[in-house]
Amino acid sequence: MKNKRRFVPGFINKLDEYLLLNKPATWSARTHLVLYYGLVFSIALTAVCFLIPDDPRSRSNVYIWGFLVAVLAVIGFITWLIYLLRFNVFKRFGIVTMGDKIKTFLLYFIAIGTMVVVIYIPAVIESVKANRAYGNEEIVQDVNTINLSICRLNYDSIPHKWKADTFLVRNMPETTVYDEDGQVLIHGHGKDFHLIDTANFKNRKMDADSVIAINDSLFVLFKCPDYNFVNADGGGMYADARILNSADIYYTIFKKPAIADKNKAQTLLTQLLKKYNAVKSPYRYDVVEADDQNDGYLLHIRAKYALGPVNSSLYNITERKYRWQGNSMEIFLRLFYYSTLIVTLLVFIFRHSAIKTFFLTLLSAVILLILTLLFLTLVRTGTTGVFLCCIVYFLFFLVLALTVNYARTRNVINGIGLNLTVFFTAFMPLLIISFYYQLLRNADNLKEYDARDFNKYNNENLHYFYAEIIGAALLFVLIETLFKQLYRKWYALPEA
Amino acid sequence: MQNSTTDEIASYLSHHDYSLAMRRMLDFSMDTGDEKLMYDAIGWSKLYRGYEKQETGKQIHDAFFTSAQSLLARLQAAGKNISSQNYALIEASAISKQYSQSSFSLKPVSLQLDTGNILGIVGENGNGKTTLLRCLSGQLALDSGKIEYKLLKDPDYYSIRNHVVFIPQRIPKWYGLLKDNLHFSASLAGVTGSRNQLLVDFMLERLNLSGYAHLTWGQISSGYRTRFEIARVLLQQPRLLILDEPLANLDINAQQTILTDLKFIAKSVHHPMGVILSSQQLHEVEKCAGKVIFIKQGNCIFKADEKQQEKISYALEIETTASRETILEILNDDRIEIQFNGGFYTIVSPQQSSQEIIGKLVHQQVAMSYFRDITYSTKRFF
Repeated sequence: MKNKRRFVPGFINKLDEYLLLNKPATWSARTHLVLYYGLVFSIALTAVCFLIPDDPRSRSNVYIWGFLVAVLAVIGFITWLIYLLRFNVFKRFGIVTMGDKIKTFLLYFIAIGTMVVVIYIPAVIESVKANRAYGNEEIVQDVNTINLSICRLNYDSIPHKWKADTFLVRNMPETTVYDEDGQVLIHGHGKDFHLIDTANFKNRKMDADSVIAINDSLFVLFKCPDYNFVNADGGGMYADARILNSADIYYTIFKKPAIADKNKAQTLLTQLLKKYNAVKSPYRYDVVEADDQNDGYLLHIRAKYALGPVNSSLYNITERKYRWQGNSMEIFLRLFYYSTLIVTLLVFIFRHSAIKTFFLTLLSAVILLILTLLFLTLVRTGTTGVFLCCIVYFLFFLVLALTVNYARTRNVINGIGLNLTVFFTAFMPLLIISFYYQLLRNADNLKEYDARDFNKYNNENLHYFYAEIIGAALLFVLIETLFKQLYRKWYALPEA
Repeated sequence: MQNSTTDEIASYLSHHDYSLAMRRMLDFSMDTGDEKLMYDAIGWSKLYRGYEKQETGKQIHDAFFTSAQSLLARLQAAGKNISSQNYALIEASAISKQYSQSSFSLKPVSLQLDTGNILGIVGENGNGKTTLLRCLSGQLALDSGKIEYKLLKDPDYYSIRNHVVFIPQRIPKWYGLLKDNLHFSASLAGVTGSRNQLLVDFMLERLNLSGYAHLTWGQISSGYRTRFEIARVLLQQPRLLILDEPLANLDINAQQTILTDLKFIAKSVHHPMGVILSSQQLHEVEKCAGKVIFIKQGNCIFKADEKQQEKISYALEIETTASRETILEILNDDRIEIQFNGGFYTIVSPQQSSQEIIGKLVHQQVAMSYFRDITYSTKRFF
């Protein structure tokens, strides 16, 4: 065969020829071409993202990039779909061997995944560039230095006195009266103190900078004035050093006498403010409503040193640097997995169903969704009703799909049931687990707070993860067994 | 079998019927199953094609004939032990079909076909030919009766659709290169690697499509589209090939060629098949089909095959300038009916055979530009 495709290396054309002659199902999926063109596009996109100047201090435009790349990915997807539609082993009643269906599904998944993953490239490159420009320790160091320098330079004008509140901790009686702030204020022993329950006291204690226990139930909570004039959201979590909190700054600066020579602090502060003062923030990021007379100094300091843009810069830098850390990576992976899975399922179903039946399936799903939402609005069952409806619908679709075994002619209803069964199978374990936990929550909501056992939710996230794995495994098994047999039977049935 | 085929090819060569000789040589090479011989036969065929393209009047080189003889000798040696066998392929018992949204129905029809044979279905438009073909191919559900596919054991409909291939009147468009489509079809049937290459090249050469393989669907005529579609389905190696009006887009020569080819392909030793086709070209179909069914208003009116030819009365078509009275006077038989159909006379005689009638007319020097014996043809039912 002659070299058919221009701008494609010879080995890709040879691979294409080999697959055409030996593996028609693999060839018709064109995954090898998607991988090649995807790789070329990714390299080009990466190069463009690296070459285009981008200041990590400025607001990220990754969403615009992402949208642009998504549009290109959609164009690529449509192009692939056009080529994919041209050849179909199943619809030509060709020989299908063991494992062909799973292999076909995985090929579609890989092809679609390639198109989805390129959308992440601008965000990844942005993070790489931000990490190369600013180190983790560097950010923490700079934030601490700025805050400390400001405190040194404004030693006398910044308040030093800590706020103290006294709390009596006990279970609230039913006749408790709350003031307009939600506090119960009672007077006793010549003092005013707040009556608070255990749960609220725990939250307050976490927020306090110091605690003195008068006795088992009487506590004084101290709160230091806020000296974090600039902050890097989450920046301290990924460095060995930590961002000093207000109490740390107090003990470092205000517990000691003021420094005499402030020039060094001023020089250092000016350098750092210049380092992070990239662009004027379009937002009043640093606007703080003064809730008492002490907070007036915050507005004054932030205005004096124009800390708004600095805080914006730090936010933008840490957002780029730590975009993929912690839960974010899980979220992005799930986003990738589910978007790829859903599109793959749609393509897989389309390749095995009649065109009319496929589009009627989509229409049926939309109509069912509308009717279900109306129904749920009327009955007001909340989330429980949603999960229950999904489970009942799936069982109904499954029954419809199984009736294909007894059908004499090919009809649309069976086809729609089969298509919807295939689509929802991977999500059913997750729905069932979610339904289970929702029932637990519903039962807990009827109990007193202290009577609730929160330990049973300890493994909830793990169970969701297991449900996702089981859903995928179940889909793979059924694709190669039940769904393969049902599609084979349904598609070949004669028309009425 | 092999001796008769060898003699047949030698006869074609000696009478300069090179096109037919080439096609039969290819068929013979396929029957031997020897890939080397198939390659050589393809090469020899391409050699002939090269001569075909030369200016008319130029002599074919002796090398052509030498290589033909050499190839034929090798084919004869390789094909010593091969013999053809026919199997029962399909049996339909009183199958009928009623469309729910119209009043038309196909009345109970019974038929059966063996491999190596062609069944023709003729009839006017809208009388049920396509319905019958779609029922036989498993595309339409039957209202009554049953169809047995004799070579399949407890098949599901997927296996039936793999076993029986239907080419509709309007062939769906192909995408991509034509040759890629052929390779794909062969792969579907489990033919892979170099064997795939060989069979596709063989089929292109066999149906005279090699010069068009690099083109796309939009670049070829409707006649070649039919040929490519036939090539494609043959590469899937079905046992029963059903064609709906395959001759509609073909010129006269192409019609003859395709029908002849279908006859040879059906009788292939390597992969014997059955062919069912519908057509309006009655005479052409009747020449190549062993059995013919005439469908009218959903009813099977007439069945004709080689073995069971029931004579009703003799019928003859002639085109002549002589008048009806002159013809009647010559034939001198009151029971003879003569109808004039605008272009020619149809003569129906209970006693005098067609040969006798023609003999009398020739003897009386009646000028005839056309005559045809339609005693056993479905033409008389139109």
